[in-house]
Amino acid sequence: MASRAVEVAGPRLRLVRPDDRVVSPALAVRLSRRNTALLLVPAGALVAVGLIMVLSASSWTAYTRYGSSFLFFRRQAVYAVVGAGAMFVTSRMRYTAWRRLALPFLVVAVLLLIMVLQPSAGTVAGGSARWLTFGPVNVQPSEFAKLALITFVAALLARKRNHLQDLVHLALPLLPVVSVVCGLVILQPDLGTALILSMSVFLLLYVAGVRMRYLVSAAAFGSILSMALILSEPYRRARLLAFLHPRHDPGNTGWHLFQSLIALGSGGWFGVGLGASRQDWGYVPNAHTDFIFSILGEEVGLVGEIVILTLFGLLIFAGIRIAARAPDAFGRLLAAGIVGWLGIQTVVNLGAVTGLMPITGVPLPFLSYGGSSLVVSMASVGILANISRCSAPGPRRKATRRRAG
Amino acid sequence: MGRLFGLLLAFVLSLGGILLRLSVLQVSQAGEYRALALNQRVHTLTLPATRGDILDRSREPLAISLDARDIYADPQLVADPYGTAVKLADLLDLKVRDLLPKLTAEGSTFEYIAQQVDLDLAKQVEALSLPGVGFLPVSKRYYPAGPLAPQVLGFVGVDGVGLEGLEYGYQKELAGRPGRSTEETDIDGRPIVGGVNATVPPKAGEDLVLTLDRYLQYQAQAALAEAVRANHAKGGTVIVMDPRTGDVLAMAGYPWFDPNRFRGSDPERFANTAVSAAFEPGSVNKTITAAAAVEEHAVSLQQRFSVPAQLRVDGVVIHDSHPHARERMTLGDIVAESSNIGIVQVAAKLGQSRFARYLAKFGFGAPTGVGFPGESRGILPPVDQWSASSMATIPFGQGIAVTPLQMASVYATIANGGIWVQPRLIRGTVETSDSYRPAPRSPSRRVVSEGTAQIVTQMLAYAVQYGTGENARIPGYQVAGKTGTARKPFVDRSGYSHRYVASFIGFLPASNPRVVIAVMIDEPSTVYGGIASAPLFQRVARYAIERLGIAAASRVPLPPHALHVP
Repeated sequence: MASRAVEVAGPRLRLVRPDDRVVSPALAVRLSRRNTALLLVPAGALVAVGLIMVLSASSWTAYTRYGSSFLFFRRQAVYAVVGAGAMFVTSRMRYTAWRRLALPFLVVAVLLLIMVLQPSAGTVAGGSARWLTFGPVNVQPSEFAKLALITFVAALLARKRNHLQDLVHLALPLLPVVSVVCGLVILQPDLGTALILSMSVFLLLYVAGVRMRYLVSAAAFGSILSMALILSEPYRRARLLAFLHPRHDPGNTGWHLFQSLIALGSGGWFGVGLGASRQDWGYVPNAHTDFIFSILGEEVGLVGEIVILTLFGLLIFAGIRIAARAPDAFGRLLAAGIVGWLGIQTVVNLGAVTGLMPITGVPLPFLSYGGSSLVVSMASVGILANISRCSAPGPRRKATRRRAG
Repeated sequence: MGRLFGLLLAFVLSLGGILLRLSVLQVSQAGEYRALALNQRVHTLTLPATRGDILDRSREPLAISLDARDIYADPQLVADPYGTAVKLADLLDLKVRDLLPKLTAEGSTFEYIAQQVDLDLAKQVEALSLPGVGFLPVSKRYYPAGPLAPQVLGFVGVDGVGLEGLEYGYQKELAGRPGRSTEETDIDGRPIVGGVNATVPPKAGEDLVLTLDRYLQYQAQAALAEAVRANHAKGGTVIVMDPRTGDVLAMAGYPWFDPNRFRGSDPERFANTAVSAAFEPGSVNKTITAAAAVEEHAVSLQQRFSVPAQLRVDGVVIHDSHPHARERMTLGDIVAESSNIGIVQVAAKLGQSRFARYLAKFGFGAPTGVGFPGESRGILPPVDQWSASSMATIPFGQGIAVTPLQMASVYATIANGGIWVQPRLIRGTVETSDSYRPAPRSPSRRVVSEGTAQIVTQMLAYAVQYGTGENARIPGYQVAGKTGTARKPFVDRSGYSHRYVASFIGFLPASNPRVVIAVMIDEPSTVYGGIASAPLFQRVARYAIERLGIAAASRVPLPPHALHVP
C-alpha cells in the first residue's frame, strides 16, 4: 500500500525512499531492471560514440604518423570488444567476490605500477612512462590501479563501517595504501591520475559517512600537497599558468587549451558535421585521447554535446541509484566509488578541455582512445550492473536463474 | 543516503557548469573562435606570374626569366651553425662571419642566405641536406647576351620589379598578374581535403618584341667602344633607325654595364644617353635651318651669300670653325662647309618666329614618345624668351639642347621625304605563346614637303662628298649627312668649356634612304666631329648595309654651289 503510494506520487528521480526496504519483490525487480537499463544504455551509447569519434579524431594522426587512417580505430574497436567481454564477465560475477579479490587485485596493480617504472619495461610517451608492453598490447597499469584501489577501499570501509569515526582505525590501513599507489603513479609522472585516485578515495570516505571535519582536513591537506607537486615541476607550473592566462602564450604552453577552445568555439550550435573537423588535422594535440571532446564539440556542436553530457549524467544518475539500492554496505560503497571515479574523471577531463580547470592529462571515460581505460571502464560498468541486479530480491531471483541455467 | 544525494548534486552541478561554459564558448564566442580557426588554418600563397621575355626584332632573346632559388635558413632548426656557415660560404662565395649571425639569430625562423641563386648551384647546396636550410622557388632575370643594349633593356631587382630601362617602363606588361592560392592546411602545411581551397591562376607577362636587331646592336656597340677608346673620349652614343617606320634598330651608349651584374656597376652607366641626355646639337642643327629656309622659300638655292670671316650680331661676334677670307656661298655651300656665319644669315632671312616654328615641327622641346621611361624633352626656350643673341646661335645649334634621338629623328624626317615618324622601340608583344600582336604603326606628321626633303638631302650628300663629312664616305653608296661639333657649356656656370661633343648624323643611300645613323662622341681628344665621329658612322653604316642588305641606289645630284668642287 505504502509502496504503491510512493510509486505513484514520488518523483521517479528519487534516490532513496524511507520505505525502500518494504517494496514488493516485483517492484524491486522492476526498479533493478530499470536501473540496469539506465546504466547500460548510456554506457553502450558512449562507447559507440567513442568509436566514431576516435575514428574521426585520430585518422589524421594515424595517417600522417603511421600511414593508416584506421590504425587507432581498429585498435579501439578491438578494445571495445574486449571491454564488452570484460563487462559481460563482471556483470555475471557476483560483486561480493571483489571483497576477497580486492587485496590480490591491488597487490598485482601495485606490482604493475612498479614494473612500469623500469625503463626497460615501460613505453615512454609524452615524457612519462605509463605503459607496459606485452607483445602487441600496451597496458596502462594506472587504469587498473583505479579500480583496484576503489575496490580495496570500498572493502576496507565496509569492514570498518562501525569504526569510521576512529581516525586510527581508518588512517592506519588507508593512508599507506593510498600513498603508495598515488606515489607510484606520480613517479611516472602522472599527476592527473593520482588526483583522480585520491579524489575517488576521498569521495568514498564521504559516501561511507566519515565525519565532515575529517574530510575537510583531508581535503585541505590534499590541496596543499597537490599544489606543492604542481609548483615543484616546471611543466606543471607552466600548465597552470597557461590555464590562468590561456592567450598569454598560445604558441607554447597555452597551445593545447587554445586549440581546444578554437575547436569547440568553431563548432557553434550544430557543429561542422561528423568527420568534418579541421582542428583534428594536427592542430588539437592528442585529439583522439585527452582532447576528443574538443573534436566532438567541433563536429556536432553544442546540441551534440548536450546529448553526450546527458548520457554521462544518466550514467552517473543510474550509478548513484544503484549505490543507493545496493544490498549491502560493500555494494553501496563499490558502486559509489566506481560511479564517483567515472564522474570525477569526466568532470576533470571536460573541465580541462573547456578551460575551466588546468590540464592534467586524463582521458574522457568511454570516449577517449585507450585500451586499458576502455576495458577497465566497461568492466566497472559490468560490476555496477551486477550490483544493480543483486538489489532485486536475491534468493528467488538466483534460484530462478539457476533453474533456468 | 543523504551523502549519495550530495554526490549526485555535485555531479549535476559540475556538468551544468561545463554546459554553461560550453554555451558561452559555442554561442556567444563562436564567431571569434571561427575567425581564429580560419586565421590559423587558411593560408594565402601568391603564385608568381612568369615575367615576359624581351626579344629582339627577330625574336632572339635579350632578357629571359630562369628558375632560381632563394636560399634561407631557419635558425631554430640549424643543427651546427658554424659547420653550416662554412659549407654555405664555400659554395655560395659568402663570408662565414656574415652568415654566422644569420644562422644563430635569436627568435627568428627565417633569414635569407642568398637570393636568386642559379638552379645548378642551389642543387649543390640542396645536396648537402643541411638541417634548417630551405629553398624557395623564384625566378631570376637573365640577359643571355650580357652587356647588349643594357641601357635600353634595364634590369630587374630581386623582388621581380623592373628598376631601369624597358624592364621598368613596361613593368606592368612584362610582369603579368600574380595568382593567388588560398588553401586550408593541416598543421604541417598540407591541404585539408574539403577545406577552403581557391586558386586564381597567375597571368603570365607579355613578351616584348623590340625593334632592335641584336647583330646590328652588337656591331654598333663594338664600333662605338673602339671609337671612344681611339679618341680617348669619355663616352658615346649610337642610334640606328629605319626612317620609314621609326624602328630603332640599334641604340647604344658607352660606357655600358652587364645587366646580369648590375649591382656591382656604376649607376652612371645605367642612363640611356640616346634618350635621356640632352646635348647642344651644334652644326647638325643647321639641317633644320636649311630645311626651313627652303620650305619657306626664304632664300633661293642659287642665292649667293657673302660670308665674312666673322660677324657681329646684336653684340655677339660669331666665327666659323676655320678662319677664311670673305667667301660667296650658296645655301648648299653653307651646309656642306658648315658655315656658322652663313647659316645665321640664312636664319635672319627666315625670321625668328618661322625658324622657331620649324624647330618645334621637327620635334624639339618635346619627347619623341619612343616609349622609353624618363625620356628627356631637351631644352628649347620658348620663342618669347629668346635673347637678342638667340638667332645668332640657335641656327647652328648653340643655346638649345636635344637628345640624340630627337636629332636622329630630324634626319629621319629628311630621309623619309619630309615626314616625321615617331621613333619606336617596341615592335610588338607576344601575349600567350604564338599570339604575336604587332604594335600599331608609329604616328607620323609631315614637317616639310618632299621637294624640300630632296633638296636638303642633296645638300647633305654634298656635305659628305666634298664638305666636312668626307670621312663618312662609303665607296659605292651615296651618303647624306652632317657633322656637328658642339662645345659643352659649363655645368656649374654660364659660358662654354673647352670640351666638345662630336657628332655625325646621316643616312644612306641618299636617293632611297634605308637607314639613319646618329653617332655622338663625348669629349673626344680630337675636336672636330668630322674627324672623331664620321669614321664611327662609316663603320656602323657598313655593318648596316651588310646586315640589312642595302643595295646601292642611284645618286642624287648636288645642289647648286658656288665653291669650287673637284
